[in-house]
Amino acid sequence: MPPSDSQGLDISRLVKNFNGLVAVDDVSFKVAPGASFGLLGPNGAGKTTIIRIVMGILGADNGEVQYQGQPITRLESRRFGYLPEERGLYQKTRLRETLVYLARLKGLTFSEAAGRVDAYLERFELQDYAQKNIQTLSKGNQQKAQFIAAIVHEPEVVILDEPFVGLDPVNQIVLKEIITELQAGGATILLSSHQMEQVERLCQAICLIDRGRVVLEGSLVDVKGAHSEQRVEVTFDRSIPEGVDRWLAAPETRDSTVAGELKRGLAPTLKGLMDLGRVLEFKVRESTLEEIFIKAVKGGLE
Amino acid sequence: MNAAWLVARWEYTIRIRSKFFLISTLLMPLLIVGMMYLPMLLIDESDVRGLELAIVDASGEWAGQIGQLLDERHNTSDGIPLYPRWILQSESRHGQRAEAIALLEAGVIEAYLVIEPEFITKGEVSYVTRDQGRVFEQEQLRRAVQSVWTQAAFQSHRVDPELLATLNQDIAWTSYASKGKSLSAIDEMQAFMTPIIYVMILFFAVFFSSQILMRSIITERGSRVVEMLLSSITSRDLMTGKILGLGLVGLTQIAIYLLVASLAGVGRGVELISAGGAGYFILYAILGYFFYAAIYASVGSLFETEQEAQQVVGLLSLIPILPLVFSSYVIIHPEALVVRIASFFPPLTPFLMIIRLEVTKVPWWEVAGTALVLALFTLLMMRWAGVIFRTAILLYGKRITLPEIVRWVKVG
Repeated sequence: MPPSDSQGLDISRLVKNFNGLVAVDDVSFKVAPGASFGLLGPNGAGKTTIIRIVMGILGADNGEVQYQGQPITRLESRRFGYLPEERGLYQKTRLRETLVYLARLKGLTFSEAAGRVDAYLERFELQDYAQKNIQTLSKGNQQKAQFIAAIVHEPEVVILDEPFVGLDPVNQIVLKEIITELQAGGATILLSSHQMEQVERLCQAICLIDRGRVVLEGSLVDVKGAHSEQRVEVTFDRSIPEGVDRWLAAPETRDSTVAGELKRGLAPTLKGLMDLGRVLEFKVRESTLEEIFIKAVKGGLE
Repeated sequence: MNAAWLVARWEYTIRIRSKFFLISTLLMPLLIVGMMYLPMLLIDESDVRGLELAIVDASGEWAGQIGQLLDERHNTSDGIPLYPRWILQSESRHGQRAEAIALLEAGVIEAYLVIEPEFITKGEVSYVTRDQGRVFEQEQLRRAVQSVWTQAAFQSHRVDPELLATLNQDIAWTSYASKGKSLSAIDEMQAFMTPIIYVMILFFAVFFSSQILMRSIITERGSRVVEMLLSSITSRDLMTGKILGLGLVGLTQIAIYLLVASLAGVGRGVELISAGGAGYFILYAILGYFFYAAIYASVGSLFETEQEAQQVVGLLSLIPILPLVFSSYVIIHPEALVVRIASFFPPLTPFLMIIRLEVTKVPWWEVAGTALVLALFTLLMMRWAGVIFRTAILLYGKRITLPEIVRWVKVG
């Protein structure tokens, strides 16, 4: 593959087999510099394998990963930060010294590492545990510690594999704030998650993987524009009148409310429904990413 | 700083301050000192308490002489004889024995000697005791009876009593070891103990470090820390750092052990650890450690729990136990063909060579040859270990088969 002119992360035609089983099958996508990119897919879709190849932990059978137009031929550890899906830290060592060690492996000097670790421990309210053995920390705190290890060297590209799993709502908010901050500071974020709501809020672009293949890829706006369906929810004053199926596809009814996808434009549909009976409430909403995701995985997208 | 060196420093620091290191490091010197001083304590005859004794002797002649000799030889510091005795002399031998048995059962005496009728011609004596553990007393009695019998035998052949006194003396025997042009006096204890202490130190240090290495890899793999590490450094740096760091832990232990062994030797007045011996020891210890570390690192990267790995390691550990078991044979027969050939078998080389170098002058080409073969196999093992480590370390939840490993090694 010739050097790309992209300044971001360029994943091109990746293939990976494990003993004859195709885990990643001709996967390509681009992550623009400074963007937040969501890698989505059901369990076993191949997300973690793609991420491991990007990080240089696994070798690809075919294809290439480029960063800033150059192939990532060896580990550029200082430029990348990585939070693996499989969480784990040393258990019998002290929190601060462990984080300093992991930061030093990323190329920081001792004083740089120690200074940044202290700052992050304070930010995550872990300073009281600094000299404690990691095994005495709660699961959530251990996860925060691991997140610190992933970003302590202030990398250009941050790769987070299911970062919200195992965190309580308060820490999910802290994590989201920090991801937003990292992005505001110019970092490129590659986020793998099955929590669509989080991805929708954090990412500008997505790639949906299923069974090792790319199902959908593009900016969130484009994907939603192309695959979102307008859904309406209409509440009548009494029972649901006959004939709503002329205006709504696959209507679902509950009491005097009917919900379904529009068959025609919004205005004629509203007018048509009002002709059938007295409408108390008329709601319009777009498909969520989760609905698009489920539809795509089930093969319902064209 | 180099990534492998950072890993090595981390491994060294966290292991050296662990309780496990402290306990195991103290345990070995205790064993060494125990080996040095325990036999000495056992052999210490000042602990001999003596026996209340009966001597059954129909003639009465021998019992008197034996008793006299015992009184001359064995007394307390206050001059009290250690072997007070009843002499049972009567016409009926059966009656004398019965009386001795009764005294023994009543607890009046602790043992009795029966001087058989043909003592002078055949030297027949029986010793009966309730307490079989009083071996030193038994030995003192045996020596006294032997002296009386020898003296009587010489006298019956009219041997000059002065000559007899001379013959009864021990000769002045001194052993020397020839090492090059110099001779050094051999202390039997040192000659036997030094190689055994070396082998034990080597065994302990090599397997302590290798076991920790394996456990550390399994823990990092099991807790998934390894994925985080491999996102920062290469698998080669990680493995090299771990092997180096834990090797330094082993070397620290060896240094402590050698120091303790030297001091224990000084305490006994012998030079247990010589500079030359320690030099060869370190050479083979380093090569041996790298050889076994490569094997243990490979095993560690194949298993997710220590229990699974222990089955394989248990089998592997049988190989280096062989030199430990046969160390006495190797000390006595350092030049035997089987020992010389086995010295070229890499898993045994370090253990056999440090014994042989301590007890005999091994030809230089054997030293160079065994070290070279071991070094080559160590390099090969390290290479294979690198391939296995790199391939297996992230293969979770899958039972890895031997043909697969062979295939990786061939491809790698």
